[in-house]
Amino acid sequence: MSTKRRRIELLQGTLDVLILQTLRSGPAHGHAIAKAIERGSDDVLQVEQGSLYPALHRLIKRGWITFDEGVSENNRRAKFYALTPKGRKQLQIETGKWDTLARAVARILRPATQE
Amino acid sequence: MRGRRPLDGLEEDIKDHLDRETEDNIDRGMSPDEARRQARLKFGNAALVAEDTRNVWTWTTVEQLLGDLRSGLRILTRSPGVSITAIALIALVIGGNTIIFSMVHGLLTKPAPGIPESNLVSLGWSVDRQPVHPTDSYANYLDVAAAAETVRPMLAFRFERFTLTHRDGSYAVFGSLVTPGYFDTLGVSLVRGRMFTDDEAHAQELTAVISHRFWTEHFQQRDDAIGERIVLNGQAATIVGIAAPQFQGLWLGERSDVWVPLVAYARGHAQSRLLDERAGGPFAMVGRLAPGTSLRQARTELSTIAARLQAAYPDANKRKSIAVFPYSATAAGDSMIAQRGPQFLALFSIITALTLLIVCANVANLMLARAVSRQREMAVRQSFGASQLRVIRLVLAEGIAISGAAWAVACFCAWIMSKAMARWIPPSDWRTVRGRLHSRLEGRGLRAGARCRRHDRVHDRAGAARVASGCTAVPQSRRTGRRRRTLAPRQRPRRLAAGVRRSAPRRCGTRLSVVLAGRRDGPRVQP
Repeated sequence: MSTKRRRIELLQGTLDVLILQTLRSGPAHGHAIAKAIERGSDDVLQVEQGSLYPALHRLIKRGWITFDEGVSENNRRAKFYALTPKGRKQLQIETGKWDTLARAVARILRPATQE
Repeated sequence: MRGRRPLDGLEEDIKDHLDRETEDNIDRGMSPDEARRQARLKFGNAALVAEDTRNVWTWTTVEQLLGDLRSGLRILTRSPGVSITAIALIALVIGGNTIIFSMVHGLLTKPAPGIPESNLVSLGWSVDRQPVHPTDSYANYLDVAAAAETVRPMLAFRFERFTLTHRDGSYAVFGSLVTPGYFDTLGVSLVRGRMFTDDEAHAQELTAVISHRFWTEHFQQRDDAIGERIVLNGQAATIVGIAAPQFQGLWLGERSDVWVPLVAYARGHAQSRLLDERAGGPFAMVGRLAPGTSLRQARTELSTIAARLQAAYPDANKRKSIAVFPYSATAAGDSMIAQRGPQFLALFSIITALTLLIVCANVANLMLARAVSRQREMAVRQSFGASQLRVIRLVLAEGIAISGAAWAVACFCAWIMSKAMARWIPPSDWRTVRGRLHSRLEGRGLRAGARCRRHDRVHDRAGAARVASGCTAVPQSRRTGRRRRTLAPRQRPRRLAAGVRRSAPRRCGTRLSVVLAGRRDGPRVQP
């Protein structure tokens, strides 16, 4: 039996909402965000790290997150990103959309479970 | 830290990320080199990532718009018929309207050639608020000019036709009788000589300023033209100045070639009565607004002056008021044009805008028809992920491409048309101006000189001369016996009836043959 799991690449547009969700629990630097998403999905979701920083800056530009210089757990300087109130609100909206989408897809894929 | 921009330290952030990933890989048991390699593989091209990150903050809309424009231009060539029709429609309207509006605006608002743009105003007279008459008496002019503070200096002038005789021959020319400060008030400089002085303006001896054009054609721009003796309508005069190039009077198409002091000329030609009359006269007035004075202030003051004139001369100035309007080449002596000009321009602007709107509606219809035929294409684009905004931007880009092409064509057409019109339309058609002038300034019906079929006899002091005028008769002085009479223009038709031979009509003001005493065939000259 193979224990090697197959990682699924993130769908376009999902990285933003996952970053927002990750920052909900507190500020984090870029590498920590990527690791948190991978760990949180039990290594199922593979974050394309090259897309991470453009995504972070997109979120800063929209005003959903902000950044600040800080010191990490191993005493290294890093840029920490944090959720803004506007980002928090946007996260709720995106979460709602995903729930709706997931229910709709599940209804189609497994109609028997609905009965 | 809050002052830092998001892109500050981006490379350090990326390096830090790679270092952390490398450390994680080492913790997993990889060698340092392998750990670093795997970290880079996982991260991707760091330079590209940095560029993508910067692009989040740069204005990519312009690049996208340029791409849309390129796409729009390509689509234009796919439907050349529609594109050319739309471009031609817009270009025609824009170019045509621009030309016409520019011409009308220039005619109604610009000063005559040679007159610098300045705070010149023209004065008019109205009775009982009736339509404004542009001229009045010299006596009223003197009182107004002396009393006005808001319009200073002020000039009065009157058109006149001259037979100018000098050693090369006699010429029918147009000119003006002017007050001494004429050139100063207008800001027109003289290239040679000097302007009239107050003394010689009232002297017996007549002085004259000639136009640059006349100086060039008949004196070959010689300096010794200053001081040259000439004869104007039988009266000897001395040239004292040469006007600046291009300047030939206050009116559009005036084509004046000689200016003489008004008072000196009137006295020399037994027209002193004109100077003393107060009830009315043929003298137009133009002045310059004093520095810091508005048109409204000038109007207020001149209303007061008019009221004083009414009280002082109730018979002559009964219910007469003064109107003040901005001067332009078409409104120098015609305040009606100055009064109605802005209204006409405003109306013209509205019509121009409406015309443009109608054409835009037509072009919009064309574009709409084309958009309907491209529904499938737009649906395919949207299925590939193009947002509605993206599709709208693409269609807008096509519109911008058409508008840009139409604008370029319109500019080119307007430039070509303006050059062509300047070449085809005579710089001045004195007949047209004269016709208007006569109807305006000489409301009593000046007819003399408006006919192109007469021969006339002109005598000057030197001897007998017979002038065959192929066209416009010129103000003539005629000597009967020893008495020399100068005909006022309005008297001329009757006086000259005797001995008039009809000849074939010729172009106005173009040919004058002079037969001097003792010579049957004098030089034919063209004024």
